[in-house]
Amino acid sequence: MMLSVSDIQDRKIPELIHRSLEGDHHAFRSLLELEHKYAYFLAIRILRDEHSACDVVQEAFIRVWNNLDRYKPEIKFTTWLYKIVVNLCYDKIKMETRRRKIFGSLDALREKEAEDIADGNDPGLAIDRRELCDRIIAAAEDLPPMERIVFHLRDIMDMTVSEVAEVVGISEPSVKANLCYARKRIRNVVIAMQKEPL
Amino acid sequence: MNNECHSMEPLIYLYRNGELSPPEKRTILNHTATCSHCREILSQLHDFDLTLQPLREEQPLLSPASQSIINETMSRILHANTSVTRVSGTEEVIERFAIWLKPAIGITLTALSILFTVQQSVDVRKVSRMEENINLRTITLQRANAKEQLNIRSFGSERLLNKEAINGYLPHFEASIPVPFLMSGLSDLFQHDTGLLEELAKKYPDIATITLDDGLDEREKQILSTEGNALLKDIEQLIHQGEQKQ
Repeated sequence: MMLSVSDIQDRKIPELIHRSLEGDHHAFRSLLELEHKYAYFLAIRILRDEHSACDVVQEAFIRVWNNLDRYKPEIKFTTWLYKIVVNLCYDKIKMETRRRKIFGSLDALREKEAEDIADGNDPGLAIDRRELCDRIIAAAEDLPPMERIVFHLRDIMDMTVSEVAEVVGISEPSVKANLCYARKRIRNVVIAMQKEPL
Repeated sequence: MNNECHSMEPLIYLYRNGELSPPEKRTILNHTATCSHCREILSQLHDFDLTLQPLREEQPLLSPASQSIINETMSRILHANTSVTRVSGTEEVIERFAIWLKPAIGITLTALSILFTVQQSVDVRKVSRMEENINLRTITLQRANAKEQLNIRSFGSERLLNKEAINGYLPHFEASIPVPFLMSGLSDLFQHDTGLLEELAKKYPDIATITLDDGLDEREKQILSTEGNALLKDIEQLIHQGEQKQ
């Protein structure tokens, strides 16, 4: 039977974790090589900044190394890793949001304006798919931290609602509530952008 | 957008697979069949979902800058010299206990030192106040003694050594001043050798037994009225003799 890459990884990871716990730096390096791409992918999707994403991934693996004895084998390693990455991204986004709130108080007004415009929506406007994608991602960057993370994990990383709840550490109803708010905000902003005069 | 649309809104935005239960899906379908506004929103959301699909299928790629993540991470771990040696449960508990125990001991010792210092200073002040009081009382007593000595000398030089004068003089003595004071006063008064006083003491032995601490009892009063009177007469004679010689 042919094993998939993820199957191979699933078998190798417990062994690498066990050897890392015994102080084997080479084993930990192998673990890092296997998993860092996915951690980086998640971080860059949420943060949209390469430098910040690199910082987050480094910090995440330092925490994995320092807390490896607390890892419970019944949880998937990637889920545990993503939890750490998401928490670090969340902290960065909160800092970013705080900075923006200090320097720009127009977000609430823009949001209201976008909602008003979207309510009078015009289904006739067409838009290039790539451009729409960019606008959705740009609109997602203005979301509150939790909504932004939930949106990225569900709608970009395609995790299930229960996986998102596990990684973020909130209940499934909370995930759904944040999804609802996030999608509504994004829709309002994108529709408003579409109606802006050229 | 009517009230029904408002109540449908949370369900409309949970449009992706697995987010709504079958009954909830049926509710949305029934509503959007008759509501063009909500139908349009749902259509836009599906459009967004299709737009994002390529992103979900993207394989993670690392830029040249992010290739260094592995080397930098391992460098930090090795540099920090973090040990993976795990301590036993008991040792871990002791370690955690020790973390707050040291500052707690430090704070306790500091507090005790402060209390000790304060108590010492309070005690020192108490002792010095006691010493002051003792000194004051000693001075007062000395002054009182000196005053009394002065009174006796002046009393004697005015030759007021008669029964009434002595009786009047006796209250000048504080109750605590014993008979030896009387004897020393007499010695100063007469400026005689101790031989005279010894003779007088031999002649009037009962007078030496009188104490003034607890006042005069009947026996002592009797002695004074007899031997005391006789002693006064002897002293008068001595004074008279002394004047004649001059």
